[in-house]
Amino acid sequence: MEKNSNEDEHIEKLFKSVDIPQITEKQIESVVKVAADYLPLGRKHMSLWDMAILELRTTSIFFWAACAALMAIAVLFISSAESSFSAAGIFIVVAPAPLLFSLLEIMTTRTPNVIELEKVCKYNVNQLYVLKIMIGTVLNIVVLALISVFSLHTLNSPLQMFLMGSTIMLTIGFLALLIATTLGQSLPVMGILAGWTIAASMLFDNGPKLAMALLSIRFTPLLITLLVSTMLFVLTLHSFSHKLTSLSLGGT
Amino acid sequence: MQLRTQNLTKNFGDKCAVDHVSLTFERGVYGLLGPNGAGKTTLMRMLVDVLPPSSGKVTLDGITIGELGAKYRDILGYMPQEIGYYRDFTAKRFLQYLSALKGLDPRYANRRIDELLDLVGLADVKNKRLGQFSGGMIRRIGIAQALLNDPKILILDEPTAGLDPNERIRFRNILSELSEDRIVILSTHIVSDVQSIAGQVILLKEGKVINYDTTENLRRLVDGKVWLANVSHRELNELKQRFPIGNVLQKDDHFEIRIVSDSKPLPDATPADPSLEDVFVYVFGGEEE
Repeated sequence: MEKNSNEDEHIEKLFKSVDIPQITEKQIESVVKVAADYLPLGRKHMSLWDMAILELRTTSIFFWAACAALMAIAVLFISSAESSFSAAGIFIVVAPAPLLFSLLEIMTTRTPNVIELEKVCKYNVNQLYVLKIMIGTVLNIVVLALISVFSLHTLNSPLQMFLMGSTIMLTIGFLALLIATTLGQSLPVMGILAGWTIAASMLFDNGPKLAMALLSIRFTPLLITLLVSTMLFVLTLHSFSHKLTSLSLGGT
Repeated sequence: MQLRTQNLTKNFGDKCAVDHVSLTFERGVYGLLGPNGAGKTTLMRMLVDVLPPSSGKVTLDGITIGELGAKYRDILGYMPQEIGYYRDFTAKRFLQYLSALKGLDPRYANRRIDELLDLVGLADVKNKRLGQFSGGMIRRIGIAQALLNDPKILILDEPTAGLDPNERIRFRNILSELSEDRIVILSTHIVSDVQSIAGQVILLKEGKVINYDTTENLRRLVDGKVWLANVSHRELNELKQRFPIGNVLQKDDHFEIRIVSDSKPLPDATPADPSLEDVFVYVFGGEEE
């Protein structure tokens, strides 16, 4: 016991004899900051939500402007349509446009050089492309829903029109993805958009019987068609995302 | 840390762009030199795993980079020859976007982005859209994005192309500092860049490694083979047919030229100290850099 207390006294004396400098909080902070630079970097797990936000950030202002303009024009034309048949025609014509805009946007802004940079990042970029198209799909559905709501008084059975619009969107989307995956170019996708606009307009202008038959499809068959087109769309979306990231990089 | 390529080969149809390349990289700066079409970019793309090899493999400490996947990309920084970017993004937003893709914590990333923008001299234009940037500024953004995650392996394809002399010097100094504790591999057309910072130089020709050594040892290849001579325009044209010619400097009524030749090319030629550029001229002859 006595020995221990002697040791304590000795240590106390030693402490008193040594001049220990006062260190400010700022000095401690700066040392810690330097030390932090040598520690492994802070990593963050990216959630689906984070990825969606990222993808929204990469979307060009032209895309948003095009979608807004399309919706406004569609509502204006549908509201002033002479009959519910014409209103339905306009609705069908514009149905797949936002999704195709989204596909065109991804194909024109995501050049192989951008993809090359994104591929060396930590996250699997395939997921990003799938997410981008999914955002386009959701946006298209929102646009269709809003047009349906704003045109309630003009459109007959808006719910059925909404389902019809969604089915057309997914079917045309499936065709566009199939062509984009096969040819890997944006021009044929533009062709699909233009082709659909012309074909649907002609159908409602010159083939009222066929158009009427299309509009009179009942709820259950419509739902089944919607499910089938959804499956086809999802399958081609999967192969499209892989095609887009399998870089056809040449160079030496 | 050891990055290795084993019999790495890449074919594009009938053309073999990289032909059975086996190299080992450890801490330090490695310069890839070769004329256009030598396979530099293809080799780099395979090293960063954006291009699958036709055969052979790339390993990090014995594990293939494909198996390592995200773990490899976590410690990798890459600057491609052509920087892809979103024209609507500002410089800062673009770096934030790539930081998120690299999985960096936003607080760390923001601090790092400010440091890097300062480092590459773009702090003043960080809120300007990339679509308005010049080629040199885009390259500086490319350098900054490669350094975002403080990579242990840094692969740079033509990093100094389009930079002005001051920027090049600054960038070379940054690389020299960085090389202390990491692997830096760079390809460049500017031989003087490799000479000033690369400890090891890899000479590539038609997809094959034709020499791999320190800059000092490579210079020894042309020891006693570099000559200075003053010639007329007519003599210059004649000599071009017979010898690989390096620098040509026009003086008042004649040309001062560097000739790389095993024997004395002209009676009044005087020997000169060899440089890496002379090695390039000697090895690749009159081929375009």
